[in-house]
Amino acid sequence: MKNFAFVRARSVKEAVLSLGTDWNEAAVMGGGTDLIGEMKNYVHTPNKVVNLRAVPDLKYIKQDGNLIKIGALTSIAAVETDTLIKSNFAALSKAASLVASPQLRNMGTIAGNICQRPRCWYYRDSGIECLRKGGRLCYAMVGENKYHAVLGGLGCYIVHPSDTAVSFTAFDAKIKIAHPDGEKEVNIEEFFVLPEDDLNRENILKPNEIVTEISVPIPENGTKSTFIKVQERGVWDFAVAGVAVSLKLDGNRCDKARIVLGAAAPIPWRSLDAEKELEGRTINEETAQRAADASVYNNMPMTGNAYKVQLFKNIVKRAILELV
Amino acid sequence: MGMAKTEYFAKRIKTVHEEEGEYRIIEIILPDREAEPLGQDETLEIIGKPHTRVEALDILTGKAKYTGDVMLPGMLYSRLLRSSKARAKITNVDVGKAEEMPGVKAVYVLPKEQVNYQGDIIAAVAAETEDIAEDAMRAIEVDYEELNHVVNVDMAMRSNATQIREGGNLSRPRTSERGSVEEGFSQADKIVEAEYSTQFELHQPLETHGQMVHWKDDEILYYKTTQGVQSARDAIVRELRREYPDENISSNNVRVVTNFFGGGFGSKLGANNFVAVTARLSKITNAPVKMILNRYEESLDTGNRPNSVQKYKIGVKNDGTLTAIELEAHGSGGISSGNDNLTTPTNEMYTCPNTRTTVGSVYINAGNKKPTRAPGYPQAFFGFECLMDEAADAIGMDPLELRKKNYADKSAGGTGRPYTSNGLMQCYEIGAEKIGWSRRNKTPGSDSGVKKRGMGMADLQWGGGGYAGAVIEVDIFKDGTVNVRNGSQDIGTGTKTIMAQVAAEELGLEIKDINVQIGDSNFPPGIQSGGSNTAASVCPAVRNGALEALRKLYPIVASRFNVDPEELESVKGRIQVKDKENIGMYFKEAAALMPENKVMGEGRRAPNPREYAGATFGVHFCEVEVDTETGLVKVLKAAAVHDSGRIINPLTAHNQVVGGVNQAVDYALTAERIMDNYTGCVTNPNLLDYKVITAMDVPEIDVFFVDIVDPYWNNLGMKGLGEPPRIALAAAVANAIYNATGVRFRDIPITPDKILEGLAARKEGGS
Amino acid sequence: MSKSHQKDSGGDNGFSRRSFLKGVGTGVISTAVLPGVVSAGKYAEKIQSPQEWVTSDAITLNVNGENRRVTVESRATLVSVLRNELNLTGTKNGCGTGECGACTVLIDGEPAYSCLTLAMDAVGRKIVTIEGLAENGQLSPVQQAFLEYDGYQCGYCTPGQIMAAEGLLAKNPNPSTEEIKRGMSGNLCRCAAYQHIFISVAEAAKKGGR
Repeated sequence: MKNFAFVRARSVKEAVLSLGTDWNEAAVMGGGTDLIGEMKNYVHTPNKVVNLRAVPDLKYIKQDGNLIKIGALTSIAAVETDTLIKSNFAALSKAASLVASPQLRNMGTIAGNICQRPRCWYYRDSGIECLRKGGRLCYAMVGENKYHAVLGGLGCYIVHPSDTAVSFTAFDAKIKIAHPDGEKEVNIEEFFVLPEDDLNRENILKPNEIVTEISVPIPENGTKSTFIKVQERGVWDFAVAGVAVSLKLDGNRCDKARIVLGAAAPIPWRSLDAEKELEGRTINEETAQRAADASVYNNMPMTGNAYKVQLFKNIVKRAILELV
Repeated sequence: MGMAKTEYFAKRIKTVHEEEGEYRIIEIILPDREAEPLGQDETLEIIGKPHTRVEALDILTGKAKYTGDVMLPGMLYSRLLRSSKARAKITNVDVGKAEEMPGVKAVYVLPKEQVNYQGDIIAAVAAETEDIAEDAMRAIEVDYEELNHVVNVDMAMRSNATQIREGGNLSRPRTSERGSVEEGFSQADKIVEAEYSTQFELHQPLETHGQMVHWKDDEILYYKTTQGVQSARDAIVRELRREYPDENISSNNVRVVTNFFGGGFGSKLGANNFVAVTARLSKITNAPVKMILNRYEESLDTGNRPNSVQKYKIGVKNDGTLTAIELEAHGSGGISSGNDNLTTPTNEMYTCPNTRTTVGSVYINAGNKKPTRAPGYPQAFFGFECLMDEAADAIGMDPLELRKKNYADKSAGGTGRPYTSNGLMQCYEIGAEKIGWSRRNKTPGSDSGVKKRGMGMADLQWGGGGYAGAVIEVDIFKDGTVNVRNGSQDIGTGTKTIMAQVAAEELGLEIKDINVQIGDSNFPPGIQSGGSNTAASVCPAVRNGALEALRKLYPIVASRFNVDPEELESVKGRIQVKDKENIGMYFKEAAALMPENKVMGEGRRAPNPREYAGATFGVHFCEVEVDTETGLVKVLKAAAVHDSGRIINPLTAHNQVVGGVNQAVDYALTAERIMDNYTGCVTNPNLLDYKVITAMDVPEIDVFFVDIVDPYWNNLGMKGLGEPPRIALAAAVANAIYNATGVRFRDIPITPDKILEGLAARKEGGS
Repeated sequence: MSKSHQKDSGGDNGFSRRSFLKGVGTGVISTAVLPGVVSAGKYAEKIQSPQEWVTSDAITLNVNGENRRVTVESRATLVSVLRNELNLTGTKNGCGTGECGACTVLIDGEPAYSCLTLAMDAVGRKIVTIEGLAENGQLSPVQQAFLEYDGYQCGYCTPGQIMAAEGLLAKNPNPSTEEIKRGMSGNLCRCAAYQHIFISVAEAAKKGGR
């Protein structure tokens, strides 16, 4: 790892002011589990690391009116085991429980989890200058792409690696962002960006912005949710495919649906087509199948990942039927 | 045989010696006197009973010093600069910036004009800290002139492929033949043809390769991660002599030490390509230099199990009789020559008079092969044992029955020498019962539901009976304590513990009285730990060494009681006249009477009997669950039944089988080195994307050893156990997946993409 | 199939292998962290000056109940400091990137990978390594169980496995088999002695865990 200046920020303000405006200059460190990996692989070689551990009041899970608010530095393990989250957001709790390994869940923060960089092996190889790193070629397009995107990848075919981001999207979470002039809050769907909008970043954060809080509205009565992760190993693996489904049900009738695919696209992929197939309808084998088929509408598989299309259909259907 | 004979005869014979699948003629010295074989019904105090490891405390408290843990005063750290290109001419290497860095003590560029795979070593640095060494390594600038590369085996075989070496990408295939396959096929009722393929596997020991070298005056000391301290020493001497023709480098001033060893699985046999460069840095800097590879380097350049493509044709009669087997196969050892031996199941496993095998190898721009736990066998047994399943299917026979039908009690498919013992029939009975073989789907794929269960089985065979060559020094000190010394090493299998058990048994002492010293090339001739050979090579010699030491102690006791030394025995801490407890004294008393401060027994092992063939056998059964919607396969349960002769330590033996079976699960389902054709780079040189088995993937495993003490192989009736547990399970898993789904998967690892595509193809095919 | 994208980021943007050469010099050594901050504006001025950046520092780590003072670079990971500075070589470095678990230690009671923990980030937290378990030569129940049930083969992953088990049992003294598997699932054993590890943890729990 290249040496760097270690800055212990003691407030959010200090942190964002320390970060500056150049991605290559400074990096923000929450749990550090993704960042240090990137730095050890020389994929990212910042001159300065701004550490948030000493920033107070960023570690909490609390109810505020209709919202559950999660502080940015809350560990993934805490999200996994918290009873407020378990009772309101089963799909989030489950997604958190399936992240990486126990140690990484202890160390990793929830904001870090949704902000982690892609796991595309071409991106992670410092010897390869891929499109996302400013090069001229997406190597996955002509190379080994069995884990790559089947949806939304224009130019760059990474998949977003976060499990919890998929569930957050299914719950219409809001992301609070601090910047040198204050803070703002955006809907999670505005937070993530596709390669067609930004080839180099997965979200809207600027170099001197950090996530400080994720707030999630408590679902209406009758809402049930689940999360399915398909990983080749039983643990410590990134998803080959994932799905979070949240349904507001009246009996078996679906009033409102959120269906979000993970490891499908460069962002958590909300499938409006699939949701439409369910809303206002009774959930059964047939409607679940129709939603499953619609969930991958417009898919564009590459040489090695066509199997993911069927895989997504299968797990979307399974997840929907799990809830009735 | 036995104790009664007292004549001493040291003579030499020539024998065949098997190592890493290669045979060569060597001359060995016979033991002076061979201990009486311990038979099936022998009553033993320590051998055959579970015992915890003698090195446990060091390991469990963190005190154990593995190679990377050794710290020497004034030591430097080394890093290696490796090629980022798969094939390129090196036009310039600029070390200026690296040399100028504070704390950098030496930079050395290897005399190399071309790199031939990603990870090929270009230069080395030594510096005061690990981080400075890393910085300096990265400050070296290399100019490459890239050449076309080939990293895909199929592409390398094409006629228009870039030829990556003189002599071409293909080696001349080796053919061997027994009987006439044409005649055999003409006798068959059914002929089954199928092609199987297996992936490149990486060893990925958790302890990466490394060494600390201190070249001080005329002594060169290596702390090294090696499975053979003495074979490594010999290789180092050869290599350093080549590099330093004017220096005094010989076996008596090069010493290799491996105190604790963090897994190797074959990759740490022999020397490595980095062996000399650290010594050079030590010589230049006049300091000890430590060089430990990181995981990236470990993944690229410490060896691999070659891939394989196996095309089979098998003839079978309706009653299950095998009439002919033909195999045409190839695989790649990367940039190194040769392929693994893929012929054993075809030629040896079952009675079949007619076989023909043709095996070729292919060169690609990737790191060298290295022996990988049972070199060749997991590949070959995957193909062949799936083929047996398909043959059974073709004649409508239970796959287990087909195997029983073709049981071979002689080697060479029933045409060679008789086996000393072959416990396969017992293995079948036990395994079938433990897995509940009768519960399996009679019609493959008939299990209803989304998650389908099925059962499969596969046989295995391995050599691994050990050989002569080890010399054990057994020292009895005046205070009654005992040292057992040998130039072998413990690679995690429990070698030290079983040596202590055998010595304690023979000396009539307790394990705590025995101090086993191994892992130092200066110790008496040892065995390199490969091929499941260590235990059965060393332990019989330990017995002889202990007896030899006792024979030097007995006269002292015999003269006290006025008896013949031959009448004495050493049991339960006493040396006494056989069966007369009252005539004798405590072992410690006897030792105290010794005129010198210790006696030394030297033990050798008799060669394996030439009139017999020796082999280890086993059967693996398993039950799997296939999620037909996700493509995920879970191995629920395995029953592993082994004939490895007498088991010295059931505790560590059980562990050994568990580990082998678990490793085979990732070979079957998840682990594969993946290379990118365009860049020529490995896409997964890490432990995240190279998916070895985790705690959440392990099956429930029933381990059994058939109760057979080998009557002829050596004086303990033991055989090897290192490789056998690793051989059969992948085929058993594939057969179980077939039993579950009705779809045959002939290419491992069987990942979700293959399962889903296979199931979809079947649906479309409408079968 | 691929639509050509509009943006051309223009090649080398600093991610190349050599970009570290352009990095900040490591010669500036300060023995204190950044000075206290009075106001954001003042702070912003300070931090924009590379000369104020701390690339090396004397820190105090609490390891196995003792305070240990070491001078380290910012990039020094905890595993490297434990091994190379404090001579606590029981903690192993198997992969360096949180993919094997051999470097597991307890930080404030929780299992964590010391290869992904900066030493500077471990200041003020309680670190326990394998060397800190046995008291007066008496093995902890977890260590004792690993001994008796042969919960290892080569032993290289074992310190990490034991620390993971200690952390698991501290939180959950009576884990089910499934909870043991999950709790131990952040530690690879390449010898794959997993079933022996599970039994060892279960037996340690029976005997009162820690």
